[in-house]
Amino acid sequence: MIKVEQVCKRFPLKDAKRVNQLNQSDPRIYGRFFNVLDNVNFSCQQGEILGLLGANGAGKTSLLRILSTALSPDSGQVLYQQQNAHQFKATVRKKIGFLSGSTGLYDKLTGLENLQYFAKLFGMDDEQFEASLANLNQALDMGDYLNRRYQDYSTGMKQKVAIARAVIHQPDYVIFDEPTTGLDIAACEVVLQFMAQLKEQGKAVIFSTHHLDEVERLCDRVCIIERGKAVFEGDLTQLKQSANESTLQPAVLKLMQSSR
Amino acid sequence: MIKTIFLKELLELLRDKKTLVFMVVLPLLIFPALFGTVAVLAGKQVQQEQTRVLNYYIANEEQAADFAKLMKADDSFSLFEPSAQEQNATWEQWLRAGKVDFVLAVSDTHQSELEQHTQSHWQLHFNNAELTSSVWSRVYRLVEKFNQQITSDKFNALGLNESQYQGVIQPIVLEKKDIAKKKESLGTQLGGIIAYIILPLCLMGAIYPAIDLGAGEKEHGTLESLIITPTHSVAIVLGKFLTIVTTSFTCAFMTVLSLLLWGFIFAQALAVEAVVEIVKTLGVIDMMLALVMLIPVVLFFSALVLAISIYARSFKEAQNYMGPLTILVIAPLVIAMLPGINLDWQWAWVPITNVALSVKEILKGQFDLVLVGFVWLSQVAMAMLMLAFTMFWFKREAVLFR
Repeated sequence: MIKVEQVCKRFPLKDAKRVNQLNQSDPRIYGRFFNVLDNVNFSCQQGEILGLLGANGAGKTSLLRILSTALSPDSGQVLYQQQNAHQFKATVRKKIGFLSGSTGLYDKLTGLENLQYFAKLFGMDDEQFEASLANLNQALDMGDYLNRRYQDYSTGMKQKVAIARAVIHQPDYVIFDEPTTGLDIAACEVVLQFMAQLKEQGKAVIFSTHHLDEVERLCDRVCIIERGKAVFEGDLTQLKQSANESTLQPAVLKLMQSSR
Repeated sequence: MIKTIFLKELLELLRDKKTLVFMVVLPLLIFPALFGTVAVLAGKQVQQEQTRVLNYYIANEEQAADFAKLMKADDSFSLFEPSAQEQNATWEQWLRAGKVDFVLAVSDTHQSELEQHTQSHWQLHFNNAELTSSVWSRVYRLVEKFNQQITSDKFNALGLNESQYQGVIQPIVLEKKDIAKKKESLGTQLGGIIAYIILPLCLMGAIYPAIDLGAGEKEHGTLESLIITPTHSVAIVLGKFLTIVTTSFTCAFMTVLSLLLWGFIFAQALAVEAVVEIVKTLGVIDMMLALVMLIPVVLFFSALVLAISIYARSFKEAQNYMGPLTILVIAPLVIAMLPGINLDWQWAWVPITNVALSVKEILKGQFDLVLVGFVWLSQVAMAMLMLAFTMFWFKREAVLFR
C-alpha cells in the first residue's frame, strides 16, 4: 500500500516580478515561496488504480515526483508498505516504477539498449531482464522496432518504450504522469489495457490524467488536487454523490470550484 | 554501476555525429587542412611579394646618380618611365594612382652633405597598409649596401683599411656565449607552450560531452528517469565524470597525433628527426612527468564543466556559461609564458599558472621536487574538491529541477 501523509512542499520564487504578478491572485504565494502542496493525504492499495485529477498547475506532477522520490517533501511522509520512501530511497526505488510527463529516453540508443541500461541500473541480471522484456513486449505490443534507435520512433512507440522502461524491473507500485497524452487511439488503448493488467497483477497504480473516460474505465478511486490541496479522495460513486451530480465531469468541476 | 553508466555514455557519444566531428574529424582533418591551407597561401603571398619587380621613381635623382645606377642594376626594381600624359602629374599622384610602388626622395642637398661628411636624410614614400609589403625591407637593404660603399670609400680616402674602419665604426663587438644547456633552453621554450596547447584542448574536449551529459539530459527528460533508479548519485556523477575525462584526453591526444602526422606528411623525415631530437634532449621520463602534472587540471576542468552543465536548464544555457571558461584558462597560461616568471612559492599558489610553470621547470630538468610536488598535490586537492562539489550539486533539488 502507498500512503501519503500530510505532505507539504514549497519552492522558492526567484523572479521578483513574477512574485508580484502571482501575489494578487494565487493564495499559494507566501512571501518569496510558492506552496505547491499543502498537507496532502491519500492512499492506494495493492490491486487498485487511483486516478489523480486536477487542473494544470494544481501540483499533480510535483506530488507524483515526491511519490517517485525524485523530490523530497518539506514535511509529511510517503510510506510504501510502512517504509518511509525518503529515508530508504535505494530500497524503495526498486519497488517503484515512475513515468513522468517529461520522461524521455536516450535518442542514440535503441529501445532495447535503453531498456537494458535501466534494467542494469535497477540491478537486474540478464535472465531477469529477458523474462521481463518478453512479458512487456507482449503486453505493450512493441514488436521488432526495439532494435531501432529511439530517435526514429513515433510518439506512440516512444511512449510504449518509456512505459516499458518504467516497469522493466517489475515494480510493486506504478506511478504514471499523464501516460496517454499525445497518443493516438490505438496506442492509447494499449496503454490503458496495460494499466488494467498491472492492476490484475496486484500492483498499486497511481496515474494523473485529464481524460475522465479513462478514469471511469480504470479507476477504483480518485483523488482531486486543487491548488496544492487534496480536496477529495474516494470512489467514483462517492465523488458524484458529494457533488450531487449524476456524471463525472460536472462533479469534478464542482468539487474543484467549490474549494477555491 | 559506474562502469554501466560510463559505457552507456561513451556509446551514446560515439554514436553522435557531432561528437565524432569535434573529437576526430576536426583535429585530425579539418584543423590541419585549414591551418595548412592558410600557411601555404600566406607563404605563397609573401614569396610573391618578395620576388615581385617593384616600380619606382627617384626624386632628385641628380643628387644620387651612383645610387640610381645601383638600383637600375638590380633586376627586382624597375624605373618608372612616365608617358607624355603622365608627365603632367606629380610623383605623389603616380604613387596614389599605383603607377609606382614607391618613390625615393633623395635630399636635394645630398652632394654637399656628402662632401661635408654630414648625414643626408632621404624619404621612402610607399603604401604601408599592406601587411605583406616588402618595399621598406628591400629598399632598406639596398640603401644599407650603398651606405657601406660610401663609408668604405671615405675610410679608404683617409688611408684606413677594412679592419681599421670596422674598428672605428664599432669599437666593441659583444658576443653571446650561452651557458644554458640545450635541455634548459628547449625546456623553457617548450614548457610554457605544451601547457598552453594541451590544457585548452582538454577543456574543449570536455565541454561538448559535459553539456550533453548534464543539460542535455535535462532537456531530453532523461535525467529524471536516471535519478529515480536505485543507483547512488555518486555513481551517476562518477560515470559521467569519467566519460568527460576520457573525451577530454582523447581530444588532446587526437590533436597532438594530428600535428605529428601532418608534420610528418608535410616535412617528411625532417619532422621525425625534430621530434626525436626534442624527445632525446628533454628525456622521455621528464616529458611523462610533465604530462602527469596536467592530469589533475584536466580532472578539475571535467568536474567543473559537469557541475555547470548540471546547473544549466538547457543546452543553450550551458553553452552560454561555458563560453568565458576558455578565457579564464588561457589568461593564467599566458602569464606562465611571460619571460622572467619562474616557479616559486608565490606563483605556486596561483592555479593553472603554477602547473604551466611546473611543466617548464620539469622540462628544463632543474625542478624543486618539494615545490612541484606541492603544486601537483594542491591541484589534485582542488580537483577532488570540485568533484565533491559536483556530487553535492547533483543531489540538490534546486539544481536538478530548476
